[in-house]
Amino acid sequence: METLANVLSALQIDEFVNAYDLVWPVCEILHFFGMALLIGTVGAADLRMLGAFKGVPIRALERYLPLGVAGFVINLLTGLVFVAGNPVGGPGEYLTNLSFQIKMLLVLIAGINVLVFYFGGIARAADAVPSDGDAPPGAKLIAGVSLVVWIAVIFFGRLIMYNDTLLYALGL
Amino acid sequence: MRAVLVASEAATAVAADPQRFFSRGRDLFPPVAVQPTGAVRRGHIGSGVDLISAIENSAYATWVRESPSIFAYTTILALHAIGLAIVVGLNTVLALRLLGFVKELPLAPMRKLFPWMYAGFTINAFSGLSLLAANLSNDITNWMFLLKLALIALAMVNLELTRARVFDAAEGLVEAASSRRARLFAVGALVLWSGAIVAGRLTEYPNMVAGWFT
Repeated sequence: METLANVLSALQIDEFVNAYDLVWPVCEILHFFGMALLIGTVGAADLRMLGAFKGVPIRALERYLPLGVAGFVINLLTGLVFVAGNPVGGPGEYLTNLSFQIKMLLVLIAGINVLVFYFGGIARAADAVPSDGDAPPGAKLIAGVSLVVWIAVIFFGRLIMYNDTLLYALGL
Repeated sequence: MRAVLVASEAATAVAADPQRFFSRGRDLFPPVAVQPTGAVRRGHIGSGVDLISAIENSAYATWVRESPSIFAYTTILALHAIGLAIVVGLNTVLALRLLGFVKELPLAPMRKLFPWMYAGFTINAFSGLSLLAANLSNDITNWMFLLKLALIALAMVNLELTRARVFDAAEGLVEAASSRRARLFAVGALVLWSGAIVAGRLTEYPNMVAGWFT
């Protein structure tokens, strides 16, 4: 963890953050844009597979997913600015923050979930579902996990700044 | 109360140069100097002041602001981000479809997106009112916050117009969806929601924003 903190510090993003007052708020704004793009596109596909929006072909909704990927990349980059460029306490403050650790674990789970969807043959089965049809159980499971995990990512992301309330709730 | 668990080096840094950190707003990590203080500024809004401090000092507002419980400020703030993602995210998908992106997506069943967008908005109306009550005297004198409210109101009117004048249009959905009006509503949704997010974030940086105008 310390090594990782040192590597991130070596990027010297904090100098950039300190040099311009706008860097931090602009990255926050972009982080919210990325979040809305990701949740809007992925969430719409998830809800359709879970049975909402029947009449909309799953395959057509999937064509919006590159936009969700773009949102994810925006958030990866702006997130790197927050962690590596943290002006108070450096990257270590994030890396040792329980809410941040849980958020990263959840992002990893969401990533594995996507890989299972595309490389486990589930996407192909979902694409074959007619517009009004019910998604196969495997696709519903993937969609349910995706929705819950992404909502939890937002929750724990917001908790990073208020990590003490999580520690308080856990009795730590 | 929340400041109890703050890292000592952060506190030192803030003590050395408080203005710098306060100017970055409440969201600077870690949470030391950035919590709403709960201090009530009196006397600058005339006769409304008593009502404002009554709301801000009410049991509920005080609980939201000062309780160390994870279900107080923290969860309400998280719900506000989740509701935002739902209403803005789905409205973005709808707007892009009206602008001609992914034409094989049939329009009629996309009407089913509306209850979900209203649900996202409702989550944010309630969470937003709670956060507002907790920090009322500061927020209602913060013009970025007022701009954000105006943009959200316009975005919701725009959403209602999209429903009434495109999805429920007298001439039929297919014709209405290919009209200039539909594209105007779509662009309006993207611009207004983007503006609301920008103004909402800048609400947390009142000193920086004030610096632009002095």
